[in-house]
Amino acid sequence: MLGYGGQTESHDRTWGQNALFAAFAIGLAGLLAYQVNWELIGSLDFSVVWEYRLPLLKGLGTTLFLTAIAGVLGIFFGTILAILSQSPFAPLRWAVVAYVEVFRNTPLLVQLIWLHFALPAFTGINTTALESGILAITLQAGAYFTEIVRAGIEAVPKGQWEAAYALGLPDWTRWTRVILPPALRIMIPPLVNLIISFFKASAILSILQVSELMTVTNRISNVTFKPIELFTATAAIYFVLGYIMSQATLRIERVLQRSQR
Amino acid sequence: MTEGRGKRGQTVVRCVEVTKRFGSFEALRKVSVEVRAGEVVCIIGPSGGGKSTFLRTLNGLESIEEGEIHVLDVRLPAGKREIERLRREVGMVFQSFNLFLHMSVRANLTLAPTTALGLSKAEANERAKRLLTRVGIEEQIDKYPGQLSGGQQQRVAIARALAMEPKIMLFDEPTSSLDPEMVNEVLDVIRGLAESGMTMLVVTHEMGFAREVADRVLFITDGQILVDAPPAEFFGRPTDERQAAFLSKIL
Repeated sequence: MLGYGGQTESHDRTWGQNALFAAFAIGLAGLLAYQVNWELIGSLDFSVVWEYRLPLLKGLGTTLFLTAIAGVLGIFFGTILAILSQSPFAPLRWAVVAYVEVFRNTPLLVQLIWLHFALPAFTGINTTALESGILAITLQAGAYFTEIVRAGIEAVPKGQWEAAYALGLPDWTRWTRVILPPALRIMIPPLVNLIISFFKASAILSILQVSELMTVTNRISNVTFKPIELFTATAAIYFVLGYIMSQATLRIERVLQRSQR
Repeated sequence: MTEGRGKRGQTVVRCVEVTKRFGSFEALRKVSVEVRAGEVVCIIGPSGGGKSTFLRTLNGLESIEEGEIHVLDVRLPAGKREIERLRREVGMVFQSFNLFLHMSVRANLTLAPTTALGLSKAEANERAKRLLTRVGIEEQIDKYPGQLSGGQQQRVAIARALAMEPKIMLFDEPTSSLDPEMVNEVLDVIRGLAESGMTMLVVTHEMGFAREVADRVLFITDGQILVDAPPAEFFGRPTDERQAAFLSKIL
């Protein structure tokens, strides 16, 4: 679900493989056409989506809000933790590693439920579903962003660090003026990819009924008994926005490549 | 030829039995040497012999395991603040220039003076223009390093170091990554700096330059200074077997 896979598609299939693949695809399509319940498809009534457009849009708004929170707070914490991970003080580095590994290697769903139900039992602080959702998604985003920012920082050539040290630049100047600007340029494509991942992952927060797009879709379908229409529409909404963001990433990557001197 | 220049002042660098290790490898072995104000010291020797490591210990870019180094009024090893203060008085020029690639030439020259020395923007800017004129590329002030030739980049790097008005300059193979036709424009700048009385330590493979400009030549190999002699003597009458072997290979 999270992370960004490489492209494994091969570009040098032979003609024979292509033909075989085409035959297989046509066969599969035929089988599907035969199996599909056309009667059901004919009876679908998508007017329900239009009827409930306002709550759906509101749910989408919450989804985008959660994505933005995960992005902004995640990058903020991620940058701070990535800088701490370069500290010469070992316990600090271990703490960062522990945080990153715990939140990267447990499911968001588990984190969410744990933060919502177990954490209040320890601390006595009760959080609303939305607060728990924001907390979980921010913490996990922070862990992934830490790794991306750390990789970005470590990709800055050693010579830039040495020049900064040799000039006796103050720490703040070294980070903000010498190291982070080129690191950010390296980081932008994976950062945007990650934000798309969290845009999709926010649907998991529906388990706590946080009123984002998925929750809203669920509620409406419970009232209208039209789950197929509604979830199809919601899938389309996720796709359209996700696709727009992916295309934007490609654009950004191209611009960055061009501006590379 | 340059022995009697008579401009030597007090000792500004004093290394006492300095040992530097990378793991179990001894990069420097009990190195002791002194440099006086105004001296130009060229450091030559085979690759991997410890020349660059030696130079980099002088501004704390490499820590040392044993011995001590006195540079100006700082005694190394020292704390972070002391080292930072020392670095503001000791300029360094690298083989690969290490200009800040995302900044204009102007920003490269003004960053450290404004943030580390507290100069105003206007003062730093004036200084930048003056230094770029001195290294002969004042018209490139608003370009980015990627738009400049290697020789121009290295001259910017020298100007960047000089913008801190250092008392000592360290050059780590300043011409080694340059195309041959650009070597001289950089050596000319370094030569001019030497003539102005700057204390300099220059790791170099340019023997003609060392012979002409140096007050002393150090031959470093296997982490030790085997020879420390004026250039005429150094190139004319080798005293060490390895020095003779090295010279016969490159001259």
